[in-house]
Amino acid sequence: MAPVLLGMFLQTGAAQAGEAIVVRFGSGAKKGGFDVTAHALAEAVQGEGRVTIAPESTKGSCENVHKLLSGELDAALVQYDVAAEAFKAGQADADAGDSGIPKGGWMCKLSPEEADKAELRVIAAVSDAAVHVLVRRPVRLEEFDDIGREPLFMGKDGSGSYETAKVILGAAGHTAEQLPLFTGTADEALAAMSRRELLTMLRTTEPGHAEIRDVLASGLATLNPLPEAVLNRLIDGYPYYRICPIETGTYPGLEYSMPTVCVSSVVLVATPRERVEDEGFLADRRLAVEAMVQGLKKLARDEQYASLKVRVEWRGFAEREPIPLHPVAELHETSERRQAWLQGGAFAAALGVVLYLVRRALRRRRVPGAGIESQLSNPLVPFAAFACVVTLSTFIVWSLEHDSNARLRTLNDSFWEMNTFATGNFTTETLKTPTARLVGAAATILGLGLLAWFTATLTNIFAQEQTRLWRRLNKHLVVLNFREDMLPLIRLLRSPGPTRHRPLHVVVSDALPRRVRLQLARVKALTIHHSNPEVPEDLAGLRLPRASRVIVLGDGDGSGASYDPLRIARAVHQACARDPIGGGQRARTLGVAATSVEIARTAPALPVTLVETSEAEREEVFSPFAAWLVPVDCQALAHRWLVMACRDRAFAELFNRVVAFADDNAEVYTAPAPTWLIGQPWRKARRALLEVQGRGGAVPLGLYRAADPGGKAPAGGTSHAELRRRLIVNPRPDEALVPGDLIVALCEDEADLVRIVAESRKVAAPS
Amino acid sequence: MVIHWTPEALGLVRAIAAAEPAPELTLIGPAPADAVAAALAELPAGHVQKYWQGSASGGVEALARFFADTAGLPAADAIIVLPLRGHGETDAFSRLVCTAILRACKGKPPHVVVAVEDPEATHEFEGLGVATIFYPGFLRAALLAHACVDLGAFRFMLALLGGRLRVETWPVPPELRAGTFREACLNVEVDRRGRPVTLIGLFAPGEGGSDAMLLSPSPARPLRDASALLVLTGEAE
Repeated sequence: MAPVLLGMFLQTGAAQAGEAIVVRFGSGAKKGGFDVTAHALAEAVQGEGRVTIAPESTKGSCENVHKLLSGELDAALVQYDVAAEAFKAGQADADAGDSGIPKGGWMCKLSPEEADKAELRVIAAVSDAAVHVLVRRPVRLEEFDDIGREPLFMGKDGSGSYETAKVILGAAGHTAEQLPLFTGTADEALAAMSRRELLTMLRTTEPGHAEIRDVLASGLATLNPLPEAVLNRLIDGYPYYRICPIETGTYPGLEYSMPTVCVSSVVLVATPRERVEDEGFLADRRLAVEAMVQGLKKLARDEQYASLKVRVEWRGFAEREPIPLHPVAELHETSERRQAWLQGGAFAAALGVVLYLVRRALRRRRVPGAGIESQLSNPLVPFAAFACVVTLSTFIVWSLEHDSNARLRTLNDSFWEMNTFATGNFTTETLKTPTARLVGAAATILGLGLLAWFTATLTNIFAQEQTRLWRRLNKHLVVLNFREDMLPLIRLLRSPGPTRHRPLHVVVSDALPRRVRLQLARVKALTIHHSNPEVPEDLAGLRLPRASRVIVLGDGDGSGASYDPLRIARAVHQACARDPIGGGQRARTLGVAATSVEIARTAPALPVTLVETSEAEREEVFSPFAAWLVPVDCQALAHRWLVMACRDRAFAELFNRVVAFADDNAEVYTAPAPTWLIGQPWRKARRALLEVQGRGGAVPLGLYRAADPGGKAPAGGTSHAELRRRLIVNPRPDEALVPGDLIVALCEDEADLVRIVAESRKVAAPS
Repeated sequence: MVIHWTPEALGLVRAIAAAEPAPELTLIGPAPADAVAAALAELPAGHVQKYWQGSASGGVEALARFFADTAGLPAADAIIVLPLRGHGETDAFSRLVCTAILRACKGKPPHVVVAVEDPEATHEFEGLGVATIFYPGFLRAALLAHACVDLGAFRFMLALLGGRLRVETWPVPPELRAGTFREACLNVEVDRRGRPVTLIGLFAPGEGGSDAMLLSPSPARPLRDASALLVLTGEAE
């Protein structure tokens, strides 16, 4: 849309005349920065339409402004402070009318009458210059109070640099007239400084200027900062500057950022007052400005002009910009701003879509903590919000004040100031503008609130032992429907023998006596859960798919007061199906008919679960869960024990010893067969294990063999594979070991068996 | 013989009947015969030879006489004493029964296995000729604990309880007397019928001179004082 409007805008006048449009362009001293840029612009514009740039050498910004106002030039490169003063001078005259009050004091000795002769407009800012305070070594100037003790160089009278130096000294309370100024060129000033006849040079030039680099490298002078008070007074009185540090590394040996002021150079175009209604003139001027804009963009874009360091800026190059943009430049600016907004909007939309997709994916996968309620107790959320508040306020405050506030020159300054604010240390001294103070106050209030939230969540975590719980919810043991007479189970699980104590999670009902709970609470790495094990949602926090084993206890005394093992088994299945690790992403909708294939496909990963059954609830009831659940009829087993104890007098003693997990007692353990034994006959494996000396040695009993040795894990997870293993005790001596075999042996503890198996190869007789 | 039998322990009767060879079974319980007749009728004929009503509520002496004169307890091969619930302190009643058994058998009782409710009451049976004291809660806990630690071990327990794996006591072969437990393990590989077996321990004189079971002793332990070998036979699955 903007190029179309621009085209129409330009065509109106272009149709009226066919001759060439020559733009008298004021540059600066020959071979100076302005002069080089002006000639490059003329070269860039040449051949583009019927506009021609004719550069004219001048003494600099002051002469350029004078000539623009008098109509001797159409456009010129002017330092913005000079241009702004000329514009304000013109406005001041209009406001003052014909009063008899004496007028004067504007930069470049401009008079209001002169300034009112033409209408000044900015095309664009094209370059930047920073004020360099060069002081002869070894002197360092912290203040400008005594700057007039020795001669001072400010540049050539009539140049922008000279005018800038004048207002800087004015901000320090000095006038150029009272100071011992060095009159001469910059080279002569340097020579004088080397003769120790000159103390200070104030030069306004682009950072990294070659001449200044050489001076600093020679050791003749050092770069000094502008005092903060001077900076602030300067910006307050002349807001055409902006505070900009000369960054570290700009010059060799500059190891820290040097506070100073910068001023931009702009392409200024003037329309004589008498021609502001002349449509033909204005149309040609629009064409000329468009050509200059295109030329400037070319200078900024093309590699061949890179040394000029031209950049095209419409706004934001000074603390305040009183001179309006030329209408053509304004169209360009509007177009670019719209494009930037569109890009920003597209980026925000893309970010929003990504966030939405991530959120949806998290919700679908049912990742714990993805819900809002969980986020409220997540300390990372307030921390992230705090970081966002600090970052956002850093950018806002910096963009508002970095041009005018010596304490917020860089983003780094702004970041640390905002951190100070957000941690509750609000002060009105740091920030200058009401908007920035408002942002600072908002950052303080939000920061305090977020810190309080952060502290509360951390306290909550420590209070609820969530950190420890997280650690305990992997390869853990879960006992559901715990009852008092199963305390020996807990004791056995905490006995010596197994290689390590797995975390225990015990779900108890409200009916469990308090004294039993207190006993449980004393057990190391045991977590008590007060929840209903028949409700899948209540089991969600136990992360059952990660559990090593789940034990579902039955109704011990048959009173029917406790939960039902079958319903608990169903709840375990459902809890695993809903768990993201157990297969929540492919969970089947409940209450909807399904085929057996679908049921098999959506089978979740389930832990090996042992259920205590009874005569009232027989093992057959649990047959649908046979792939992952082992029913254990403890009463029937107790009866068998009694029978075996009656028949075989050694049985009772053997059994008690084998199951006791007591010190100096052998139990049955399994350990993976080492690779060197794979394919070897059982006799060899047995002999090798018996050869290893241990505390009590290991007596190999047999093999615990996978249903599909060396094959892939069956569908349904590791529990299916576990339960499909086959126990081979007293194998034939020639039975060969296969991949995946576990060796079953009597050994004092599991660690001993693992060690003996590992050492077996060393002691095995050569085959 | 099972003492303190109630219909709740019907499963025990089935388990005994399932044993090979099935023993003759006599039940003694607190309830009248008529009251348990319905429960016993559920069992196949011949499982239970006789049901007697009897308990320690009439005194130890009376019970001992009943055991000796009526129930024929001294002739029993093994006796199981179950906990008697609902009659005061359960294990105390079992202790009285064991005293009566001792008296009925004139100090030489058969193999007595007592199931207790409270493991703390175990020591009360000392000196009463009880061979084994069984605490069902411990069995449950032990089985489940082994299942948690190692499913292979758990299935080994089930095979032992199911009788598929058996523990046999073998005499020490004279040629192994001079050797060590390791050598014995390597030599004892099959039984008389050629089926694979595993030597898992031995019996040797322990404290007090009586034989003690040494399970998985050090492979270097000499066999010179061993009175018997403990051998695991059978197949798990």
